[in-house]
Amino acid sequence: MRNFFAAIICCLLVTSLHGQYYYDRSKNPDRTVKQSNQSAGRDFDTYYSFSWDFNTPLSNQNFISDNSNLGTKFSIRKRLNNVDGLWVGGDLGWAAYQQHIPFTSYQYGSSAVGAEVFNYTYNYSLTGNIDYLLMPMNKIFVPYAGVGVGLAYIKFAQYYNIYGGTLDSFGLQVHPEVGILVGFKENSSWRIKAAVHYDYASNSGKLAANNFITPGNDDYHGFMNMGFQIGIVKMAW
Amino acid sequence: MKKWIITCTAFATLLLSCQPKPNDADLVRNLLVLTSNYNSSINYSSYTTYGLATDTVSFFYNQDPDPKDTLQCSSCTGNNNALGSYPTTITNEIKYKLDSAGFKQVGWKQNPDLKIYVAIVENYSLYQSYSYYPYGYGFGGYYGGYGYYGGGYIPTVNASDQADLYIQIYDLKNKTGGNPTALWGAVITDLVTSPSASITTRAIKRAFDQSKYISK
Repeated sequence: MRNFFAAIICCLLVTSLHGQYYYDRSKNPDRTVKQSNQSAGRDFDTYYSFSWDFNTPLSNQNFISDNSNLGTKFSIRKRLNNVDGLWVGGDLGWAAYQQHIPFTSYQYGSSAVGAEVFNYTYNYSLTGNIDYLLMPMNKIFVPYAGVGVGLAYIKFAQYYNIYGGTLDSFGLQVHPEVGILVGFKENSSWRIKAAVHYDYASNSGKLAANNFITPGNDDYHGFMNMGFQIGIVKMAW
Repeated sequence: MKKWIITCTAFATLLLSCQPKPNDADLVRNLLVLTSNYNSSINYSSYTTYGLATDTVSFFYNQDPDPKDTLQCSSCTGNNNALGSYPTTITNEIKYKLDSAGFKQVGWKQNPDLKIYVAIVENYSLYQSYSYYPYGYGFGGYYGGYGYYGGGYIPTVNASDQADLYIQIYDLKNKTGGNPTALWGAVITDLVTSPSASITTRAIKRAFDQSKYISK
């Protein structure tokens, strides 16, 4: 009987000590259990990226059809929550397209214009973006898919001999994007970003009415583009 | 947040200043050539001969010490030789193109069917209504009646000194109100930024090449 009571007292003591342990741990932030998808190290919830952007125009190719390697994009993303891999943020983009058209004669009714023409568009965009990460951010390879919606400003310019003209246009832009973030190690704070994107913007320009020399008095209707970007990513928390 | 706004503003400012342009040497490699067929119903095969003052052009210059004397010829002296041999360069190329098109140059006393008038206008605003029609009334400005630039918007001219070459063909057989009828005009610009003789002759060639209807 004495042994029975001794066993019960031991059980109560052990239970009490366990309860004391959990009570103390809850006060210790170092031992707080996080519901993050991080397995180890810093819990990154923000990143900044700066990318070089290569673009191929898909529309208005009578004005410009050459590829552009003059483009950059600055992006910021913040984790929307720590469960489903949704990240939101914005892109600030710039790209310059240029086309040299050797001396060509353009017929307009009974008149003709012959000129060596240099066409340019300077594209600026500011979009809000949402990305879905297909892998946890602490992995080395983190593929993602996303979409951005925002404003696009395009400045059309044409130069020939001593003449030139410009035309401004504002529109709405949408650009879906798929890409991958590649860390240098697991949960790396610096990463490489590679992505392909499609862009559509509603910008248009009445080029002919503004004395741009275009074949058949073509105007500019809607901007469509495919691009590839590669850049550097800095993670933050 | 403040840091983010400053970063974005700095980045946007940097991007807005990044607007590449062609370099000047590339821009003036070729002249702008505008041609206008004033009467599209004209059949040029009905003409056989033309008159052209070889080695001579008219020159309208806003700083000309003797603005009433517009004659410039390669063989002249003094103020009438301000352009050196340039008039010969121009008229030789015009003669070559008209001869190649099947027309024959004759003297003024031989009653040519067509008259070729050549003028250089320097430092008069391209868009003012400068009358360069030698028979009393003009076509107005805007590239000599060239309709494409008749709208309200005018392209920026990136030059402080500008000279344009005008070549015009008049019908001496079928006069209008006693005056020769304008058939065709070309404006070639800018001669100041591209003073090379070869660039000018290439532009004259192109003016006729883009007006294939001027042919026997």
